[in-house]
Amino acid sequence: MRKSTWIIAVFALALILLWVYGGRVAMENRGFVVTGYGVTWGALLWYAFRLEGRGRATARAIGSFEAIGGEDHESRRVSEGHSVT
Amino acid sequence: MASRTGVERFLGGAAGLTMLAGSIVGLFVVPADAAQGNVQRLMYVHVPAAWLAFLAFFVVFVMSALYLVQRDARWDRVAASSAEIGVVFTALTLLLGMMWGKPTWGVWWTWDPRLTTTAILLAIYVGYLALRSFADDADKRARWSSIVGVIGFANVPIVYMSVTWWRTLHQPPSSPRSVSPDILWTLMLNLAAFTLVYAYLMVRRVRLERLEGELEKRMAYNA
Repeated sequence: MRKSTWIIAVFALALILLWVYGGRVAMENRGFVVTGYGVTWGALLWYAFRLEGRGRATARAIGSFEAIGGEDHESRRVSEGHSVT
Repeated sequence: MASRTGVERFLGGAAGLTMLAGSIVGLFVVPADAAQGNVQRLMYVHVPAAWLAFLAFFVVFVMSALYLVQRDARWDRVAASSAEIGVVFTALTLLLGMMWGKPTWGVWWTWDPRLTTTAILLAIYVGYLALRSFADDADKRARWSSIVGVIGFANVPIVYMSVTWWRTLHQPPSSPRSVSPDILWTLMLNLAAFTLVYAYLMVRRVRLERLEGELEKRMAYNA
């Protein structure tokens, strides 16, 4: 399993446990508290995973340019007579 | 993006552990507020999210001003990264405020000066990101968004002062002398956690911005 899947599974389990704990101690406004902390962690995890996904996709795209061209942008500039300095 | 640096790993680990500690203390250790009860626990994430949104937009302001003076693409990359993270924190601030407002005020939303100016703040920086996605030319994009980054920051002090300048439902800013030490330390712990999260996300987002710039250059060259 991927690391992100593990993190999401642990996060979901923690939310369920928090909900159950809130019920056992008769926490008033339990729904708002659990949802608030869930939204906070969920939003930050979602954003971190999104950055990871975007980074992978961009690195792949750069890799495919290199594979097609066989040389990178700067080396092509040099080979075509442009200065890189 | 595949390999992470040592700094990234350290910041990621520190941010995760401090967030965990902050949530545990905020949810289970510190006693419930005498007046508001358990729903006050939402303040331990709502207030740091708002502070970090302000910090993120301050970074956008400084980096945008630097870009306009020096025309160095590095400043623009940092500004764009901070704006995106600031939008996440501002949206979180509004959502958490609504979740606190419903049981406390009886409404999810009211056109209160603090809430309204915060919603405008979100709209300004969503507009900043939209502007960046519309502009194809990298120089124009950086110049236009830097101007928005400098002017848009004017709303941050308005949001902060809104509770003092206008009659509002939102409570005025608290000071360390007006809250109990338990609440203060829990707030500080969560503020440290959110600051580490911001630093971690910034390191990763700036690296992504650099990669996307590289890809854009290659696409333009091969077009």
